[in-house]
Amino acid sequence: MHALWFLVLTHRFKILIMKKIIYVLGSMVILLTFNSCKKFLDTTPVDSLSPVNYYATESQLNTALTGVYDELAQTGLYGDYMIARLALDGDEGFYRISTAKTGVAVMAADPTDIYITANWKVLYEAINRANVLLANIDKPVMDETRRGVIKGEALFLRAYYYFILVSNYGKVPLILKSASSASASDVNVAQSSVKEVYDQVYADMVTAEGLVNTAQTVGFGGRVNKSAVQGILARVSLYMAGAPLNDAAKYNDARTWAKKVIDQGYHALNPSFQQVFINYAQDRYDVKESIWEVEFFNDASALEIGRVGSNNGILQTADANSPYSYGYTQTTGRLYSSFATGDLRRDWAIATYRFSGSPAVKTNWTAAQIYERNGAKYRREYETATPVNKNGGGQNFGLLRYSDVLLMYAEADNALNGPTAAAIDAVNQVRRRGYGKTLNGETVSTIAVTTAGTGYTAAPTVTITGGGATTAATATATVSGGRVTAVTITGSGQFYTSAPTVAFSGGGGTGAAAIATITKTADANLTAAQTASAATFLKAIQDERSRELCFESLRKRDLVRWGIFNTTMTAVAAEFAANASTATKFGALAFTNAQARDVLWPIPTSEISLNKALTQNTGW
Amino acid sequence: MLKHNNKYYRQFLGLFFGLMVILSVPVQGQSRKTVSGNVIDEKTKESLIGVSVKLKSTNKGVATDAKGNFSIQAQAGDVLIVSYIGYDTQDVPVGDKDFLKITLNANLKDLNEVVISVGYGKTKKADITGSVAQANVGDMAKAPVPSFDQALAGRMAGVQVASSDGQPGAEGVNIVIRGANSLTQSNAPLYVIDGFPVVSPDNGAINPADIASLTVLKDASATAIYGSRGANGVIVIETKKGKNGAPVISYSGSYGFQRVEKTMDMMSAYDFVSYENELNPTTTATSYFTNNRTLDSYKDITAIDWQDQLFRTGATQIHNLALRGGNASTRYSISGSTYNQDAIIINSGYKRYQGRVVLDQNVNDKLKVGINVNYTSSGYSGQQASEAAKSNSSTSTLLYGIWGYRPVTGGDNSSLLNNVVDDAVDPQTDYRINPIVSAENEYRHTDQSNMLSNAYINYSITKKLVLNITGGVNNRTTKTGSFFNSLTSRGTPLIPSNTKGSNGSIYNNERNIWSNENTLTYKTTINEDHQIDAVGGFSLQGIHDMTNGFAASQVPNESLGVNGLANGVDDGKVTLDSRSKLQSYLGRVNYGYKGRYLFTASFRADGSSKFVSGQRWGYFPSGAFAWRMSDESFMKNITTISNAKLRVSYGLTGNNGVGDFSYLPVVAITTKSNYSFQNASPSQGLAVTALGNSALKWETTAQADIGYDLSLFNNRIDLSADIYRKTTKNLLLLADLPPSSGYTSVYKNIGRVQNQGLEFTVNTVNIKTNNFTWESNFNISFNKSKVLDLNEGQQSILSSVSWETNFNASPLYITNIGQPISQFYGYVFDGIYQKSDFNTTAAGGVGTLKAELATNGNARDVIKPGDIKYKDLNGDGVITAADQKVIGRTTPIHTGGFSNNFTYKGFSLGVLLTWSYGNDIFNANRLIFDGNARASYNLNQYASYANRWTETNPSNTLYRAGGQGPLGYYSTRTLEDGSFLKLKTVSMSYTIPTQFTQKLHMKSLSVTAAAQNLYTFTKYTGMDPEVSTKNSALTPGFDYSAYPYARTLVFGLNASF
Repeated sequence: MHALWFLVLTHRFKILIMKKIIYVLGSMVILLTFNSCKKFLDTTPVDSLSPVNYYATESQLNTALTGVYDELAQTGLYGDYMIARLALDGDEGFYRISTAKTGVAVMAADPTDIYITANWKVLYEAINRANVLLANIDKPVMDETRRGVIKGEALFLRAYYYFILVSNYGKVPLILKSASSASASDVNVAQSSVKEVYDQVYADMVTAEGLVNTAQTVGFGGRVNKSAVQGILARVSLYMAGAPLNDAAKYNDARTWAKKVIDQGYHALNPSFQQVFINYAQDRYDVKESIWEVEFFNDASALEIGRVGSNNGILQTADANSPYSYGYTQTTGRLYSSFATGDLRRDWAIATYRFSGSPAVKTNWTAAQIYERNGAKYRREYETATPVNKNGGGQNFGLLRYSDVLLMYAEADNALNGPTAAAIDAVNQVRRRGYGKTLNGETVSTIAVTTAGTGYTAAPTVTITGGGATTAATATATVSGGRVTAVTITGSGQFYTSAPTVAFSGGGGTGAAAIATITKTADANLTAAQTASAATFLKAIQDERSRELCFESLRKRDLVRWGIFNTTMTAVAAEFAANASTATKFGALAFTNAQARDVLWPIPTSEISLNKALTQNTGW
Repeated sequence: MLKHNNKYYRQFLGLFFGLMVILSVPVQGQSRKTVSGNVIDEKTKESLIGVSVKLKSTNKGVATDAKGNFSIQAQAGDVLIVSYIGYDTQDVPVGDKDFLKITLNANLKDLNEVVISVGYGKTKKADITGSVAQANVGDMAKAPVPSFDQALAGRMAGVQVASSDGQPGAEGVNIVIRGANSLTQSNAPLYVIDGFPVVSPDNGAINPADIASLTVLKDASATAIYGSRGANGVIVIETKKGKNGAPVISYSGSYGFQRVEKTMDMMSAYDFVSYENELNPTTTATSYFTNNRTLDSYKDITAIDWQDQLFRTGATQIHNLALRGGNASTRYSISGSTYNQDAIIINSGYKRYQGRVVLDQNVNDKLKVGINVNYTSSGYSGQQASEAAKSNSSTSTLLYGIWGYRPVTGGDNSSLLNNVVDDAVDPQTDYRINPIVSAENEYRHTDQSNMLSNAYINYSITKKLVLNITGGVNNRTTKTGSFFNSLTSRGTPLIPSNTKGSNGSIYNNERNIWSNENTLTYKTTINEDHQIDAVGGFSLQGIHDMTNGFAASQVPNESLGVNGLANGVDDGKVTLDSRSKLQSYLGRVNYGYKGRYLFTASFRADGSSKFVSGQRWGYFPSGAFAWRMSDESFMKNITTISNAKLRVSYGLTGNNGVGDFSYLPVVAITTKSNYSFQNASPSQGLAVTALGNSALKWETTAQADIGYDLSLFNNRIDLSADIYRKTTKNLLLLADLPPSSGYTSVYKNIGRVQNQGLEFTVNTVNIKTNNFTWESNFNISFNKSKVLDLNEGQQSILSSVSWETNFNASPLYITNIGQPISQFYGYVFDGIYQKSDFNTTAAGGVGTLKAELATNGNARDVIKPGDIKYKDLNGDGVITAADQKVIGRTTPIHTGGFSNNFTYKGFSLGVLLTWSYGNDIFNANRLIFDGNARASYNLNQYASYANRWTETNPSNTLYRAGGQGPLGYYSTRTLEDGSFLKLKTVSMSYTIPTQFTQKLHMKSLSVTAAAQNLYTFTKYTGMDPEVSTKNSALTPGFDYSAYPYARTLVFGLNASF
């Protein structure tokens, strides 16, 4: 149109004169055009990598695979938000910040929530990295087995990212091929059903299982191995068996995959529950127990530090020379009271002390202070790497532990067969480790004074002998009115086979006597009532999972798949009203806020405002 | 601060005027038969060469020489006719004088004969069909500023010039012509310097004294000849060339002072301690009420004035020297300049050394060749005031330290003055360090060298047909070095999050542009009625950008500064290399019939390497028509109208302002994408960073313009009005992608934006007598933008700025379809909760907030009297994100300038006022210093906050200590009217009479005084309303820790020999 006008105008002028100009101009243009008109505008980038040229060698495939792993440690995932900030710990804890009235941490999110937004974004960024790698996996000429390992790890990671998506967001776009153009039809992908996503996750993981190296070969927990794939397959199967799909057939798969891990005979529980977490803090691997973990690296400038222990450790912000921790999680009374006497896991998973002042000093919580206590599985004070960074360190985060596999086996087996000996034993293995049976054997559990004696002017020395202990128990006596009134155990000893003898000496008196009892392995085991029926056994397993796996960002989704999320949250809210101290009552917020829609997070606004093919989750 | 300034001003003004009075005493001449004389321009006082001086009686005459002198035999009764092209002819009676000083007045009637550079040619002003504005470069050169863009504000309608802040040397001047087209890309115009088109040049490289003309092409008929780069307007700059005549040496130099324009009033020691006491009585008791001090003790203690320590009297020194001359075949111009400025903040400044050689040679009748070479070396230094040392933390900027540092301690102040950090500040959350120590120690240097060389060959094939070939090269290198030692905010080990120790970086950027333009021009007049001026051409341009450099941390030998970086630990390396090319065909035809009906049609085809083959070529046609009504018979007889012209134009221009390879997908290995396996140092990981968009193509702007030029009363009044509408479609937009794609954003041709506006310019000669003239220029521009379309289906874009951790995620701007680009967005401040807003407890105390009143975002039970209150727009009783709305406009309703020039005999006075009306500024400084939003302890506040809410002072504007409500809420409380009227430039000069200067063998000598940023009339409470520290089309008008503007006063000399 405009060009036409131009031409008409041109036409009006003296054409003869114009001809002359056009002739000269034309010949000039022709001259220059002849040279390299087309080539002149051809440029190629020389300082950036193109996906067209990359992925050409095995090492380039590995670099690309590292990029897929990298996302696990990003802020939106386990580098920060998936730990203690997205209310993934369900009924186990609450968000410490009393001024936080909105946001996902207190179940008062909206679709613009920055944590949810970041989580969604990083998951799909990770999926895209995997998609581009998988699309180019066959490019280099290389050893097929090694190619298979790369492919298996990438497939598994992509499936794992989708697993986080589908279990937290429900229906999501299932993108298995990177967008080929920026056009709306290529980037606005509609949601697939929850089943379709799960089926893809399951299928990809099954493929990966056949390709990746075994845990023994890999040798450490930071890389995907066959056991990790099998264990996560068991988890995926259980989630599929539960809400919202409720595909009961999947219990069989869950049992099969968990059993595969167990039957290898390679994996085992670390004798010490707390050592599992000290290992994370100190960058030590125990792939027998910790089958798969997210790796962090302490050097802040390398941008690979994580907030394990920083978000979910014991609050410490005053002393600049001690490790800093935001201590975002405080425990619920429900979790605290679920531990029975003798269960050593409680005082590791839940802080018995707090830090205050600078230099930081430990002060024990009183027996009445329960809700005040931080979740404390991950303790930065155990970190050994230096320098200590304020906002995180190199502490790894476990994604799959062997105890989880044992509990999943029991749960699946129970769903199929009711309480079987094998299933009960699997749970009891976990409990016995929790009670320290593998670490300490039987220990002195009580010392009762049978004869008080007379004439004691000072506390007599208590000597505990015999009983076949490898380490003898120790105790102190209390004297009142010349009589021994009580004996306090100061060390429980280790590996008693029978009750030891207790003797008193000194203190100026005579005649005191006491009798000791020792623990029994069976104390740690589930009671007969707990294993009486499939229903009671399931309840026992549900509780056991909380005791064993609390603060590992698994609980909320466990509650959801069991279909008890809302009832549980409501119950905890009531417990807050009844039991929490005035200062911690605010913690009820997440529990009173929780409603039916909270079984899923909303599709973030950043996505749904651009991708018109999506529908928002119910209630959001 | 003002007091100091006034003292300086009075002293110098007194001296200046005294000198003028002495020099202006008239001198008597003597009588002889040979009459000699000197002819000068009435306005510029420059000697006029080749002026014809004839005896009226005999018609015999002579011409003035290179110094403007003549000598002629005459009798006392003779009358000399003095005439010169472009000037009024004068009859001068000889009388008894033997020396005649003749002043010629520029012929106002011939204003329309002024020739204007319009790109690929020159056109008489009378024949121009488009909207083209020419700056008064003479006036601009009088402003004591290093680069022309700083003197451009208020000079021309439709050209909006605004600086981000007063940081010296930094590229903070934003020029936007007729409103912003682009949302995410640059809106800067194209510069054409002596025919060489440059996108984003270093404007500091051009000495303002070298500029002969500066023309702004505004409408599409004027800019379409620059096709793909014309959409944001074009600024055409021609530098001074040699003139026929004997060599003329001209020198101008000035020296002057700078003081900070305004500082903020801070709390007194008493107010500060009393505030701390309200905020945190426990700590205050132990830290301030010791050493026998009570609150009242602080009434007698003087506060430390940190601003006084940071700001100094700056010094500006400017020298320009030029030698120009030539003969019929050779003309030359050699010029050089220095500019040296010690800026108003310690350890910051700017300097420039520049030289230019221009040579024009007529080889023969047909062939002319010439070369124009400019070399500039410049550098600026000093801490970037508005930049946060710690990523996005408000506590790590320079002015946070200055304003926030305590005015007093509980004891001896010396440790506060001397220590690097304030012990009473928590270094975990507040990164402030002693701002004086920081400013003294932070090393930041940017050194640039810039060489722009142009050569041309001009061959007249026939008298009417001329071939012009030009070639040019622009080499620019920028070296940036920074070093943060242990006494700086980024390097001190006293802030625990500083993990890098002493650190720094060196980056080198090299940009090479070459250009070749070939045009054929044909000019002819047929039958005296048909004028044709046609140009056609072909051009090529290439741009090559290279950057390399590295950063290092844990640098062991601090004393070596940047030169010791090699011993540090690698902290990131950069190597970038990118190229783009442009190939173009262009043509334009001007046709005039009887000078009355004027048509222009132009066409350009551009091919850019930034797009995929197949989408590379863009075509940009334009057409314009002008009608000189004043030449029509019906108007010819109206004597009051000397010129009347209607202009109508329409055309298309383009924009290719995206990355060189934005169309390609990219994968990258970055530190951030690494992963550590088995506790090893992280292995390299590959990130898939860009999707690329192979469908990218030109952005196109269609612009229609209607203009009217009117000159009245023999050109004493010259009016020009333009109305325009431009619509930009296929906007090159950095569009957000759905995150599920795995990408954040991609360049797309998407969205539409409309700008429409009105421009009005009046030039008047108010008074014109032999001795006194008064001329004025008034211009005003209105522009309104409207977003017509955004990214597929997107209704609005929310934008935030990064300045303070707790606010970074909150949007402050919204761009809605159907509304202007970027409006302020937030909560409506609704005063302060008063006691009466609360229930009374059984015990008679203050209970909870009454149920019928909305909360402020905090829980109802924690809100107290004195807390901030927001308007509950949706009436749901709680303040949530839904209670935000558009709260202000970011762009002015109108901007403009009003300049007045007065001359009386040898005196001249120029006054320029500029203004901006109707825009708001978000004064984020007040979030921190007029209410302490972060509730930081020991953070000083503006004096205004002493008037906050207390039990006894129930303020409804300032909340109580600690009553700021939830963090991260932007509200109208700190949104202020940013309208201003600035006394921008005042220049004075006195030309010493020729009688004296001739004795000194000088052609002319004048003494000058000039002042910049003298006074600002505004309601804005911050330092200066001309501010935009986070400037972009989507985030304008934000003020936090801006480098303040300086008031500059210089005195100088202009001399020519």
